[in-house]
Amino acid sequence: MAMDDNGVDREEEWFKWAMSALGGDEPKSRVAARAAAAVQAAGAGFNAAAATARVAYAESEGVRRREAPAAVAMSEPEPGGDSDALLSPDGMWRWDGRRWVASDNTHSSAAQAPVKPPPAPSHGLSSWVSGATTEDLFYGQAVIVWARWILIATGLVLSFWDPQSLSLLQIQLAAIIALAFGNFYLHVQLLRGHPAIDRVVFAASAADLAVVTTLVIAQGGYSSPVFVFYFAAVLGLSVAFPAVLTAIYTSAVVVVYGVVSVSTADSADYPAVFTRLLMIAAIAVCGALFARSESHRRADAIRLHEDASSDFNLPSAARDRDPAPAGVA
Amino acid sequence: MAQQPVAQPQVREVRSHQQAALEDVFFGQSVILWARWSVILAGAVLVLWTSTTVQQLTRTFPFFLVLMAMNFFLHGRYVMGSPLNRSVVVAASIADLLLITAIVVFWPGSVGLKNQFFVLYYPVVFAFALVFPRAIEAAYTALAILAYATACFVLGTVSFANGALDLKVLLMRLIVIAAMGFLGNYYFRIQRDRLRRASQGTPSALDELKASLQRTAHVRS
Repeated sequence: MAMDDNGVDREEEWFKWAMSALGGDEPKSRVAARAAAAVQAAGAGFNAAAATARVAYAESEGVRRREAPAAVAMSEPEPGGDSDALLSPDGMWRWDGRRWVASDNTHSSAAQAPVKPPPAPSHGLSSWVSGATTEDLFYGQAVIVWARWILIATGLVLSFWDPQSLSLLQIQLAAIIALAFGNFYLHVQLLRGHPAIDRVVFAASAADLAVVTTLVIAQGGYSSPVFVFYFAAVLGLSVAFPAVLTAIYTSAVVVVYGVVSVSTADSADYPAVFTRLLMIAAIAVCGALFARSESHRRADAIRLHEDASSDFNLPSAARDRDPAPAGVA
Repeated sequence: MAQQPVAQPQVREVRSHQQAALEDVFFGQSVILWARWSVILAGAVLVLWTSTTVQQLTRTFPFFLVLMAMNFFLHGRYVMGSPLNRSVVVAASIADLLLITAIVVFWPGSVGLKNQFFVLYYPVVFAFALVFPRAIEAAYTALAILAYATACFVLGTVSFANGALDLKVLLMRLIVIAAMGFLGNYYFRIQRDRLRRASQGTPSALDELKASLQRTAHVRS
């Protein structure tokens, strides 16, 4: 099941890549994506899969992405004729009997340089089972780690500030020290260049929320001031996790904290409970929106860069175009 | 012996620094807009929920109507694709802070530290931090902290008696406001770096890291 999900995800990613990198032809991109995903599933690397996608795209019937240079007014030569006669006037393209191809290996490699596919916007629930390190999570992990250090430092200092009782202080310190050790491990992994696998990060964030909830309950529920730490924890996961997981974690927080608060607050305090829950959800939405928007911007940037690079390799008539404005619409 | 320069392919930069800064404001605006909608929703519901007299409702609701009108205008401009002036975005965000501080100061029944609607600061500060560079974000976060702390102290709601527990609670809330600004802007800068690398076609930091690890492993073996 997980493998199926991964396969579908991979093919979807290749489809998006093919649509942006090879041209906007949907059926051809679908064929290319299927081929690339199959090759990659067999253990091939990105370059091999990209090359396969290009070939599949070009081979599928319909228009070719790299049309023969429009400026080249050549009648179609006889196959097997003199190779010099098959060159375009600028010497960069050669007719191989079926299509225009780059005239030499150097140019060919430049023209067909693999471009990086757009970053995966979300791995969804498959992140739970893949045992991999997602790129988005790698970058978001730094935010989570710092959010957790803030939680730990603040919690530690405030625990010693007029502690209410011995048992409460014991619970607080035990929870905070456990978090500190876990966070130290994750931070060291980041610094050493070994980002933790996704599942560990997901579990650590769940532990953050569990610790905050434990402290809230231990301090009387609604009246506990510690609930503000939910905001830092939700902020971290909202920018790092896939949208689906962000929604699940945030919903869990809202439900659990909502139940705890409502059961420990007067009815006059319900508006305040509502505001807290709404703001926790708002933080999650803002973080997830921003992460998604940035993902799209990066995909656009990669496509523009690839277009600009392709322009450089196109025949002279096409080379004079300006890059598309990366625009403020 | 001087090294021969290596010929680099001429790849055009697709984004200038200025263009990227404009785009940050344009794309980031949606986060600010949604944060403001959440504040408006919370405020409107609270006013409707807690008002006990007609007079109270008619006195407080217009503030949210004004904020709603402002956000309709800003959101409309965003949807139409007209980039807003950075100053307008900053001014609107400062108006958010003023409104939230007004809620903390004037809310009937509980004001200052006793007012529970300080949480409205959090999404606003976070959203702002996702859009603007560090200096502006730091100033905005400091303004939010100053506004809330001043409101609490001036209204005399922070007691130093009883082990200064009030001060402890205030400090905790202020730290989280600061954390919203810091963490939001930290992530913003990470994303700027990723976007810059993508625009230039250079490998991501993660790719570089993996390549470096592979090289190290290769050398060791």
